[in-house]
Amino acid sequence: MAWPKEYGGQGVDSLYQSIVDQEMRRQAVPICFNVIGLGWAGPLINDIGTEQEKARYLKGILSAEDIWCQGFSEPDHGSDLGNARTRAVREGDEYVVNGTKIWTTLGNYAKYMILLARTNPEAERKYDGLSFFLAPMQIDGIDPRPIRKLTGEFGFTETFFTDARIPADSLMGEEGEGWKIAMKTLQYERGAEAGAAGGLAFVRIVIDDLLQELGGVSRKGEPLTKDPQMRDQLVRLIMEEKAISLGDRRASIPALTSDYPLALPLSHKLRWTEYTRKMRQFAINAQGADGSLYVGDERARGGGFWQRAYLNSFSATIGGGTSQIQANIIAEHVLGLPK
Amino acid sequence: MNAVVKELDEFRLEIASWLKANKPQDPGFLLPQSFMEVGSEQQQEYLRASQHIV
Repeated sequence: MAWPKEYGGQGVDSLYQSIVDQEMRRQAVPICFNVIGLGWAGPLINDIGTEQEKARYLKGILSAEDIWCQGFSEPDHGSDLGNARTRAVREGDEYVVNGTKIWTTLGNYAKYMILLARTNPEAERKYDGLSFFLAPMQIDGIDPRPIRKLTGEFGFTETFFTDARIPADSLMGEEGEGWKIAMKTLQYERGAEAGAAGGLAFVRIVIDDLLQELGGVSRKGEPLTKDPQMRDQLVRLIMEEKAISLGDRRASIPALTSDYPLALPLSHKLRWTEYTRKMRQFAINAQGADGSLYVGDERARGGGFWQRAYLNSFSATIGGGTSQIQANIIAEHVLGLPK
Repeated sequence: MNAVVKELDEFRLEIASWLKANKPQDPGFLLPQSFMEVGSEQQQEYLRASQHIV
């Protein structure tokens, strides 16, 4: 709703978007799956894109006509984006791209990719050799192949570029600015700057859902929630979720975060993704032997909802920078610790 | 109640009412719990249409 009217938005304060998000969650509206467009690429284009880029891309993102994916990680470099090897070589009005990207969410459905590629392998600093592209996906030489996950589901692809010719005007900014633009993009992904639909890209599973689940579980004829050890662990989880929630509210008030302005936003991803993984694991443990049943087994509690949620929670602790990377960022940029 | 709060409350009611009337129906098949789990054409088409509506 905060996007400009001329590009399909409503041009209103982001507070209105927050209200829409809250109501969508309250009414369990299906997830907004085009989050790479809505939450990362779109805000990036809105912030630093040219008028031509805004006119070309933003409306399609909002309407879901154009799905976006992200080409940052590579098979041999993982989160170490500075060492990206995928090459983009300028030839006339095109760049010829060769290389491989991995963990490309929605790669097989996307019309566009935000792509980080190396245009100058001779640059003195490896970061200065990278460039950022708003690259079309549906052209010859780009082959996204689905990856089957631990859960048996799909969702990621490995994307191969073989002499793929993308238009030169898909370069965002100037050659050599790729690292700077990629870092800005990651700020949206990691929650340091608010995207448009980040919170709607997941089914929100919170401690109240866990408490409701446990209400139906008993052990030795007694409700599980009466077990002192279980209660102790539950209270810890309740406190942790409450602390994250209060921290997020605090982060929205600059006067309360002036000592370390980026501490809460930068640590949100680490705290929230690790907490949700732990909470979901607790839910499975609480099911006892039933915890080993999965989706498709009619005996699985809730159709295997928690098992599926747990196994998929690992993706969020890796995507956008692993928990270890997040901890390093906090150590260096918030606490000022040496590298 | 000041004018801004009143306007936001009215907006919330309007959105809630609109969503109640227009939110996409349960498709009858398993939906992904996150954007990283969209693994079939059926899911993709449903979610694309769903976002288009909202």
